[in-house]
Amino acid sequence: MKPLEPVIEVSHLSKTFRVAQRDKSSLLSSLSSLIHRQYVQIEALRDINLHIRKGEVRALIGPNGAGKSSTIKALTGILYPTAGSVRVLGVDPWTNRSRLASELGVLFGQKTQLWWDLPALDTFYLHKQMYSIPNRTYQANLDYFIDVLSLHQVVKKPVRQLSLGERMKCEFICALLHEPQLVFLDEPTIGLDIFSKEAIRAFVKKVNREKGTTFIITTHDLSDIEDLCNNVTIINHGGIVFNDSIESLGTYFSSRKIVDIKFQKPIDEHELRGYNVMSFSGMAASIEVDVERSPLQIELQKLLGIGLIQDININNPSIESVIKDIYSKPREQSLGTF
Amino acid sequence: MRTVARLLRLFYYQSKLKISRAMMYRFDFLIGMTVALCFSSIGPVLQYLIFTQTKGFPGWNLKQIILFQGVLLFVLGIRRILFGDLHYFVTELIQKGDLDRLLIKPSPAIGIILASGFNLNGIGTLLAGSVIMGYSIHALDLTITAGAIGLFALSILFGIVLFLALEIMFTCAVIVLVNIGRLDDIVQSITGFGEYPLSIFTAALKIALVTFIPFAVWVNYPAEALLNRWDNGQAAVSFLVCMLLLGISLSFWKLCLRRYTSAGG
Repeated sequence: MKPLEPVIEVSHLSKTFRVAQRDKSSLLSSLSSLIHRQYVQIEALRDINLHIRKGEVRALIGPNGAGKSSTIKALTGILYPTAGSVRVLGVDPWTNRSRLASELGVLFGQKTQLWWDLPALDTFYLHKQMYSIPNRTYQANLDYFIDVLSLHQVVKKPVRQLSLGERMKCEFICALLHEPQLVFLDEPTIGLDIFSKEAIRAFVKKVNREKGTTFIITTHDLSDIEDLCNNVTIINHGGIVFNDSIESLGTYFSSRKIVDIKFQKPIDEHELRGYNVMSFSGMAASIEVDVERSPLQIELQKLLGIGLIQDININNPSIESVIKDIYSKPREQSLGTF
Repeated sequence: MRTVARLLRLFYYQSKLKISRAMMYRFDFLIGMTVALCFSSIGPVLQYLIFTQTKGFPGWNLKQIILFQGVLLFVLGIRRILFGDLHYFVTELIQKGDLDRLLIKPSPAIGIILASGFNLNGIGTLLAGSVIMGYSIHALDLTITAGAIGLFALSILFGIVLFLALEIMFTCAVIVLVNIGRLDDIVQSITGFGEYPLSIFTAALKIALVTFIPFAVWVNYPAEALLNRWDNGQAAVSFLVCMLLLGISLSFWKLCLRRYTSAGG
């Protein structure tokens, strides 16, 4: 089978910022910065290597300040890199920014590109002009998105009268109206209720499936990642610390298992000493077992001896705990992991 | 050329949206128009007072000065309609890190910025200027030929080119310095030199206003065109410098973009 063509190829990408810094928060310090200002070099990105194939839905995650936004800005040609090379849809994004822009869609969950006082339809029409979308394509796409997102009446109301969920759906139309090959979604479900989140996720899956659009999603909502993404790239301290499939993330701690156990009668927490107890509520406990240190069979036998058991489940550690563990690693350790 | 056509189209559609928005807040629009008309009438009255209380302006009689004021208001009106919202838009854009949004559009970001300056309130000033110009032409009994109209339009066009150059420089300064309130005030004061007849300035300043900083194209040249006092050589030099300044400002823009660091994500 022919491998899918790469959409993004990044190698050894680094970006350093020169940032003014003031040690003290005093008036004197502010005044002295007028004459002499201290600068520090911030290594926002270091040695990023990334390959994303056509049709992927890739999560790009990391704690605040990890370098996600800088990576996206470098991929879209907004920031010039200090070192390294980037090819997006076969071109260098800095020298071909305007040309590449026609193939890119971007949605910022915390910023709007809709005209606040006017119906969303007006902004869509402005987009049509900006992207020179042919009439027939524009109308077909608009009808398709309005149908899929059930926005028939919504797009006719002034944007300021829309709910956050409705507004976000309109933002999606703006990002996709010109049929981009590659779409960046920055916190697409932030602040949305569960129904709106589901609608947005179903929409992304449908567009990905039917139009083959590649999506890169940055989010702090792990359910977005679990529901939508094939692959996950975790960035921390400016570098990639995990870059694999969502399944691999689930089995990241292959030696650790979580045993959820429910007893028929309450037990004393003291009886679970020696175990890594994640949670305990008298009749139920969640215990982490390191199967490299002691086989799971032996650990289960020991647990069965504590009391009569009503139910028992053995799971891999949750993706949330895996990500938390990866995020909490200090700089040198975390970059050395990958 | 296709890019310019696309940007002009974008300006047209953005302006249409701004008009739609202005119509949603009719009261604010009407107040804005009224205020613009009132303030516009202050200029000619002030000029009249200065002219009658002093020795006047060398080479200009009262009726010609009123024509000059009409041209000034006409030009200010055009400038406000085309670029009135620009400074606020650019400052907001850079300070909030929203320039990123424009950098990923298929047209050049500076073009989109310049196409976003439409302000409907300039219409009041433009109307006032047109009325005063019409009145003065009639009062002076001027014969306006097609050639004069052509030169008038050409001067207005190059005035816009010069203003584009200044706006691009302004945008560059905001990218580099982020907050430039006072610097902007200084620039506004200097551009004010273009709002008076060249004849009132010293020889050195006169040369500067025709060559290095050709602010004479804004009001002096269109007024001279209507008064049939056009100087080909002088205008050619100024027009050339306007184009040169536009080129320089665009080079600055490219440099600034390389320095752009965006805001935190």
